[in-house]
Amino acid sequence: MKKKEKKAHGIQLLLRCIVRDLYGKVIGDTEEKPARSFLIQFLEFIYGLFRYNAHMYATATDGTEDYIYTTSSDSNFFFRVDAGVNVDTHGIVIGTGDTAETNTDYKLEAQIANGVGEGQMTHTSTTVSAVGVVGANVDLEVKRSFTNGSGGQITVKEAGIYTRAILAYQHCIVRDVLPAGIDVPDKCSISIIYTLRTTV
Amino acid sequence: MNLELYYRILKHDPDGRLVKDTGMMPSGSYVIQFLEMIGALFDGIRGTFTDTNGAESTMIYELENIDESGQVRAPALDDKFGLVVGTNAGVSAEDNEDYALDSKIPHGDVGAVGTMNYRDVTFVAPRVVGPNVDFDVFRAFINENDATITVKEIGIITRMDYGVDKFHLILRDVVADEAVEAGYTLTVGYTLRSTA
Repeated sequence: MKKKEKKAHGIQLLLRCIVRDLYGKVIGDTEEKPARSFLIQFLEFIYGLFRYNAHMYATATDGTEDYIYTTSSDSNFFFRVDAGVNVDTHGIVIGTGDTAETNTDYKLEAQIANGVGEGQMTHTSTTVSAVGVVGANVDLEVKRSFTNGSGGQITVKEAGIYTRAILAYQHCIVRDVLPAGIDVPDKCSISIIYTLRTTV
Repeated sequence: MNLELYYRILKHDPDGRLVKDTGMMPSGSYVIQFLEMIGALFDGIRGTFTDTNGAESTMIYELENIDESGQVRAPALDDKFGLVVGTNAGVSAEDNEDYALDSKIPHGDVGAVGTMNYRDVTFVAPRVVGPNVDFDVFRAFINENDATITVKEIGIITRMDYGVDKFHLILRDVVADEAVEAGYTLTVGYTLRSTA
């Protein structure tokens, strides 16, 4: 007897990592895998939004308690992930840490900085897709690529999403330790794709 | 792990005694407007999406104060937003693109047939509960009529209060029939849960 598939409920988070060589040829692709790790800061922002009559603080990436929501600033000052080229303070971020996720993580363990120095990678912009119905699901995709111009191989072991609030504070809302480290040789790139998915 | 969603329905008799508790039930019912709202915030853009009237209207206004968007903390007597209940008279199953309850029960005073007295929406802030982080949203509905009302659907509607108020559905669940007799109170809760 075929086991009945358990229906997902809530918001699914999926993660895909694609490695390309210097010429754009795909040399590695994890395919879409379930991710684990919405963090407490995600729900703290939603709480602020729903409540709407009070400021909301949450642990920022520097470990201090800072605004994730204030009542008197424009909407486009909050929860932004659309980081520009060479910006490593928000958007999708990657790192080399492999300590297991916890609910109260507030940053990556060892973030890879933007640049071409040792252990650094060049960050492209983070893009946010339009939300759409895809088969039985509704999907929202967030993407970013990172190019390794450091002169040596870098092994990516963690990924996440940092949001920006009122131009000053960053909050980690998602962190995932990858099932296996992904080697990115010199001159190659890695693309990280997060999909938020709902299904009624 | 998913950002899980559960609902829970409790019923109290006129003396305040708990007579029914569904426990935490898995909900499958984020509708498209929820992710559209998140996407607009992620991107810092205006979000114009299908409202509860079936029209396209602003849900996130990027150049206005954020506290005008995404409001769920509805006060007592206000049935336009917050947690809402309905009778699902059309027997509609949930759909990704639902934008309204099938048949929402309006707020009403004592004796108003087919209404319930909407209390204020309350929250329990996100906190670590065992291996999870939980954020709870609750609302109570009192049947102040002589006749029983049967609740068959629940959901959450946000308000955008810049200019003319706009309302957008973000959750809808069709639930097992919950008969609410005269004088009884139904309390509906949603729990948003993350687990690293």
